[in-house]
Amino acid sequence: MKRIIHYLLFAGALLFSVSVSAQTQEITGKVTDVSGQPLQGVTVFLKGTSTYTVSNNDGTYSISANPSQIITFTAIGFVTREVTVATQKVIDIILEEEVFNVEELLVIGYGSQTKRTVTSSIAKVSGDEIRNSTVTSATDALKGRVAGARIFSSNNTPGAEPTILIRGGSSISGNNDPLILVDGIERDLSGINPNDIESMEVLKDAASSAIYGSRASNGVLLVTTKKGNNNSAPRITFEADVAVESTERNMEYLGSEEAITLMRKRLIQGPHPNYAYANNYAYSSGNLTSSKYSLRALTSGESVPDGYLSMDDPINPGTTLIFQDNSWINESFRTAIWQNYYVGIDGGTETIKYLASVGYTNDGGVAVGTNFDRISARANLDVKISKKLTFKGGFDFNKMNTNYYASQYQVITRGLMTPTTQKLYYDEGQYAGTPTPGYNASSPTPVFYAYYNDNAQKESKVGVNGILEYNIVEGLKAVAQVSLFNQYLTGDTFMRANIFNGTRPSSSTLTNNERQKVEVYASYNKSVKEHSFSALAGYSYQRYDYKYLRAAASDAASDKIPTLNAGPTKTDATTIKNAEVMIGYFGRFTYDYKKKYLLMLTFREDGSSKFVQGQQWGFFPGASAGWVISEENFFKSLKAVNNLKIRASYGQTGNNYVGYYDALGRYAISTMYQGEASIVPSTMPNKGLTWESSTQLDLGFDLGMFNNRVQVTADYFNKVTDNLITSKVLPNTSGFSSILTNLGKVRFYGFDLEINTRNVVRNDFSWSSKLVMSYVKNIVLELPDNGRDKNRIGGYSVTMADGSKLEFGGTAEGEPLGRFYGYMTDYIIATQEQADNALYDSQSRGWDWTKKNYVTGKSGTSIGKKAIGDYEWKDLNGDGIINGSDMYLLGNTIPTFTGGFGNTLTYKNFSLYIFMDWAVGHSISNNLLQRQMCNFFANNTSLPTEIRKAWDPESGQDVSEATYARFGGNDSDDLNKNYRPASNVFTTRGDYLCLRDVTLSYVLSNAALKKAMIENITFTLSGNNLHYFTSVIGMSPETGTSDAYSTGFYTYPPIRRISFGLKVTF
Amino acid sequence: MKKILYITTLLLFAFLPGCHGDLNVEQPSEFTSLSMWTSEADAASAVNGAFHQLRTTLATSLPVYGDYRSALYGGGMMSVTDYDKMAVNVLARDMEGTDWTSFYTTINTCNLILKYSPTITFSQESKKNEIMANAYFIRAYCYFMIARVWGDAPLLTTGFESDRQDDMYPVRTPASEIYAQVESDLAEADKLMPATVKEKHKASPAAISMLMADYYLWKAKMLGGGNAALESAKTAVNKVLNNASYGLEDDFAKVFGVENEDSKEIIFSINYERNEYVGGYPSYYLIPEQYVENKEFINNPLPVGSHQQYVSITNEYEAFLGSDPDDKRIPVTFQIFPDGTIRWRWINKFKGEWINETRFFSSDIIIYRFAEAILMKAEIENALSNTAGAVAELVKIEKRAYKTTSRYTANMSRQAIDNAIVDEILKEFVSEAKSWWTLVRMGQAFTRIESLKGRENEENILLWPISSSSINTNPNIKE
Repeated sequence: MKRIIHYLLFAGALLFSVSVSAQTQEITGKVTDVSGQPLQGVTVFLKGTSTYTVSNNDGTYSISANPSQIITFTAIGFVTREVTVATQKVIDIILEEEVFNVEELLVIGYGSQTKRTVTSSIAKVSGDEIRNSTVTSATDALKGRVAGARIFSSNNTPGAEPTILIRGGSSISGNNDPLILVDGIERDLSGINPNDIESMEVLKDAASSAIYGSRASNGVLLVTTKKGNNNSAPRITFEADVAVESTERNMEYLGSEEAITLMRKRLIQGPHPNYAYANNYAYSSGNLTSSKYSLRALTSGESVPDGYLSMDDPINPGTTLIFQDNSWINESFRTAIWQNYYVGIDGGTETIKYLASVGYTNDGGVAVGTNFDRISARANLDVKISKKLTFKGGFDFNKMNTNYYASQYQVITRGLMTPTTQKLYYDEGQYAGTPTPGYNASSPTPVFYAYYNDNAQKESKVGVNGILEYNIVEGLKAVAQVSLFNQYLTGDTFMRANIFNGTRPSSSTLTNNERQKVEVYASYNKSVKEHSFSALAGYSYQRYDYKYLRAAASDAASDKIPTLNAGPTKTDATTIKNAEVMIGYFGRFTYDYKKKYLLMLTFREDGSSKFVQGQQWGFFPGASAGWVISEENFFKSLKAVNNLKIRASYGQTGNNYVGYYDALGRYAISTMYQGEASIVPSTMPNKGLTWESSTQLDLGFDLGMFNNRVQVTADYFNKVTDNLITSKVLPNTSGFSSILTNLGKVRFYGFDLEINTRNVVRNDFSWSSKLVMSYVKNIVLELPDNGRDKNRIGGYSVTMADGSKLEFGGTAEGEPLGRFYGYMTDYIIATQEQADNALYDSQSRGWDWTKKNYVTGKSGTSIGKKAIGDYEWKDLNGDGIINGSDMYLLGNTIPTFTGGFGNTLTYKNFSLYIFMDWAVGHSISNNLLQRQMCNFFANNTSLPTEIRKAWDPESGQDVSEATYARFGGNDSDDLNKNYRPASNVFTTRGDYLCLRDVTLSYVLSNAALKKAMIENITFTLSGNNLHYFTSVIGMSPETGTSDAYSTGFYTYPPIRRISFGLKVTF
Repeated sequence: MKKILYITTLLLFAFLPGCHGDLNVEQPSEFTSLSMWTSEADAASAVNGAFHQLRTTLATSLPVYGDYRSALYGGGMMSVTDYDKMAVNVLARDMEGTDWTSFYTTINTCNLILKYSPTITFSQESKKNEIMANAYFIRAYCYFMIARVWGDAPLLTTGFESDRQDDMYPVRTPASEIYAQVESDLAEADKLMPATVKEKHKASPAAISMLMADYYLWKAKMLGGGNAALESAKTAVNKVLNNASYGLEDDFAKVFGVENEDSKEIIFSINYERNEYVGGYPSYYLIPEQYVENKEFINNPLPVGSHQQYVSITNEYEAFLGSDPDDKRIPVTFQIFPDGTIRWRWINKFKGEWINETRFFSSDIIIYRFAEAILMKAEIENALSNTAGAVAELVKIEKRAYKTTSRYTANMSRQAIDNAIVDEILKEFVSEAKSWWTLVRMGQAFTRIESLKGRENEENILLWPISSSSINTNPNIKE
């Protein structure tokens, strides 16, 4: 094929040939791509002559030319370049990949298709595009790069995979993860080395994904790994990247002196003034030397000890206080090293293509006690056994070790509440030399946690993949593919004896996931005159087995042995096994006339074992059509437009994300009573349960203008999921909280846009841009009938002053998903009169700091009363009482508008890449900040610097200058709950713009290197996650949330990496 | 061309190993609705499941209903807003204790046991009877609690296995019908329970009799049951008092503590055990370890826990309990220890075990013990105007508590005897969730509890509000 194209190009060149003039000289050089890879087979011809040559395996060429001539470099998939010879004898040339190439192949389900003939919505990200991102997982590198997909990190711990959401997902309560297939094997991307990836195709609409039927509602991500090339000498690539990583942002806290000044003043105005003087309180002058809190009054004659600071007691002038100022942020988060090494070899002959690679990645972990490393190995081999028979085999193995916090909520969210006055280590007594504990067992300081806990996870994954392709006759091909994917996960935990738990619990888990798949299909292609047909039919069988084993023990005699055998009390022994079988039949038919009128039909019939017989099978069809208008004669006169295709697709896909027991019900056997087995009903059966089905319409166009220097792909979509697998809430008298049923409808709609431009194309300078935008909204159309307004599930039902009911919140028909509610501030109470007349606040304890007592109201209790400095909340229903009925819309957790913008500038051997991405429309209830400002734990907490913005009426500050109500101390347990309720006070817009990647690279290639058998060396300086432009304080803005303090919310801060890399090609 | 099609078809279908039947996968490690309720062991395990659910139901709610409204308990070193409100009888929707979900979840399991046990073949008829008696017993206990806490409430007796069942969205049945159900369930339990059963953590003939006595006494005083109900209560309580397996311990201290859980005084308790289920409300009653600076005081005498001390007795209750220094129950019930400027105070019952420097709240929670049978008998006799009989019972309690026999005499008035019974119950059953029910039943809630004084005529003042979720999940439920 390639050869034919050469001839064609050559023939084209002949047309322009004129006679060659004299003074010719030998010109040599090398053709490489932007990443420095030599390009073989590039046609190099002298413009206007018949002279041409083709570059070798190593990209080199030589040609005779005179100084006035122009050399043209042409290759399929690359932008043609022309160079005037002038005085140059060596002309090295870098060819830029053509951003839009209609002959480019896209991987689709069970095959491939040229961009020209594609009629569905597919986004492609090439391996090269993500090559220089300093990331552990390829998913991370996809952020902002795929039109129609939102990729975000909810957890930043080393090794965690980001979440992929294609076109908003498809379900309410079900799974919204796309189906990911790596060379046809279903798995997640963790463990895959990004360097091994050739391309990633995202199938977004129903027509492209319907061939995966019941698993395709959330889109499909097809990952293809690199293969070797025919007729190329072995090429060895070595890469090394070393990065310095640190937190991009974290919460900031007051230093000890400022915190002590503030807290001591507040304590003596609060209900526990003794906490300012008693032993064992963070801000007390009365701590003994044995206390874990360093603050105490200097005794007479004593000098300030080493490591201590001193100050005058703000509430007791004349007394000298001594204290330590320990930054728990600095103790918890450090600068760590991230490293990545990769060695690959690839090559091929006429009959064999091969590639093998080994990679090692190590993330030192910014948070103390966390880290990650991965060894990955891959081998791909294609063998042409005979003219008709080809074997393709792939094998990959990866092994990952992870150390992580079992609960970030405990160690980070609560652990960082440790006050700066707390000592790092006990300096006397039974625990001398060991880290001081956090306030209680569930809020250890990170130092304490790392000292007493081991929490290690090892994971290994093996994928084996074999394909036999048989070309029966011209155009007819049969393919059989067998794959096996096996994942082993082991986890070991051990807690050394400590002040909170002396039993030394240890546990060990083993999880095994095994997926076996057999797929056979046959395809037939035929062209008759200007009509082209293709057809495909196949069968797929997949079995999935899951096994989980856990054992636990405690009461070991010492800390020395962390394994279960040391613990005489066995506390757990569990095995769980699950199995699932899926069977599918699929087919595709395509037709085009003159490559101008295009049509594709697809179907899949899928069966799933998760449902009860009779409900197991579902049929999922898809159809799409395209019209290449630019090929019409009437369009040819429009010179500016090179290519215009309009597309439409429609189809249905499914989702079977239910548990193994949702159809048949479950009786849980995990509990005991007086040492005997006990069984309780835990899942109500629903034998009628079946697939969710999503129907999606997609309308789009592909446009190329100005010599294809501007390329636009745009799509509108409307996806309606019916038969939603909804958790129907049951009356709380039924014994079950809910049951899964197929009831309800939700709609996701919006547009995707991708614009590629080549802004400047010059010989030694080029500038290209890629802009990606995704806009997704959703609306609930139908929910199970439950007798409530809009069949609302959850939410609030408020009786208004006129007796009417106001219903809002939860999930309801006609409303979008993700809204959350809370209190709304009216104003900050600034006068005693306002305080006396304040509404009854059912949460307020009625502490009056000016009178230093609880204000007693009419009912004889202080509850409900307010004081100067408190918030007056808005009363929604006008009943004069502030309570759980007075909820206002605070925000939505789901962003509507996301995207990315990348620019590549190339000057000679230098290349600069700048990439930014954003998300807009989501809100974050920053309960991380909120709870830290609540000063609970009997006032023994650190204070965020935001507390400076709280109103201080005593200072004479005007209330209008305050961001927050007056800070009084333990807002949660003692005071008037100004900070504690979910409210607008701590809710911020999550909108962000992230400077995600900045990469500067330089390709070195010269004669000296050649002598050393080195083709070239690329040096890279790169930054990842450099900065979020956002108003979110102290945490990552990527995930919207209604509660950043919940146990499942990850507060590991976002990580910034600055790396130096080296890539050597031999 | 035909040949090609033939080969292709063959190739395709050669790989389809007729395997649609594979879709009927059986999950090996859990029971489904198909595999449950087929053997005796399933029913026996379900009874354990129901007790486990009852344990979860009562873990923190037992004193919420039985103690906290009596104004005898207040915040400890820290307080919980909801408990503070209960202490002043300010009850509001969605406070802790307003949600009945857990009771109905337990009832549902009992209903399923009662539905399926008759369909299972048992090795012995008595096994089946014991299982069904347990289910009736738990259901009666739950409905007795529901009726006293919420009054009118859904009455469900069939067990749910599908969301399309008729009584899925029930209305609130009048409390009288719920009480009637309690009565008939108890009668069934009493009839079925084999006489030989001696369980302490599950139903037994004595446990059923105690619940019957409790119920009939309530019926007599609160539901207009009159002397007939008193006689029924007397019959039931006599069965316990005459049962040789049970009796009063001589030493009050021997009733409590993990080592005494087999005491002859215990009639029915909820099992708590390390590595099975620990915690519950007693974990709110001790001093958290992190507050105790002088580590030599730990367990000497300070029994420390790891949870915040949310609850302690009030100063007034402390004074009342300590009013008679001869009362041998005092140190067993609560203790006080001054440590520098701090005065530690904690409730000493149900403090579990101290193992490997760690507190485990593994004390069984006593629901009925022999002393209560004696005091019930006293209350019944007094109500039947047999003051001598009532005093005779009071003296039994006196004898153990004060080592005297002269405090209560037959010439006391009926009111004085009732007062003495209330006083003794308040002193005997600290943190055993008896105070509220006693004060209400004896008609002293509006005289002894400050925040209830003069509120006799407020509608439903003795009941609890229902939670929003009860209304939101079922439109048929009205406030």
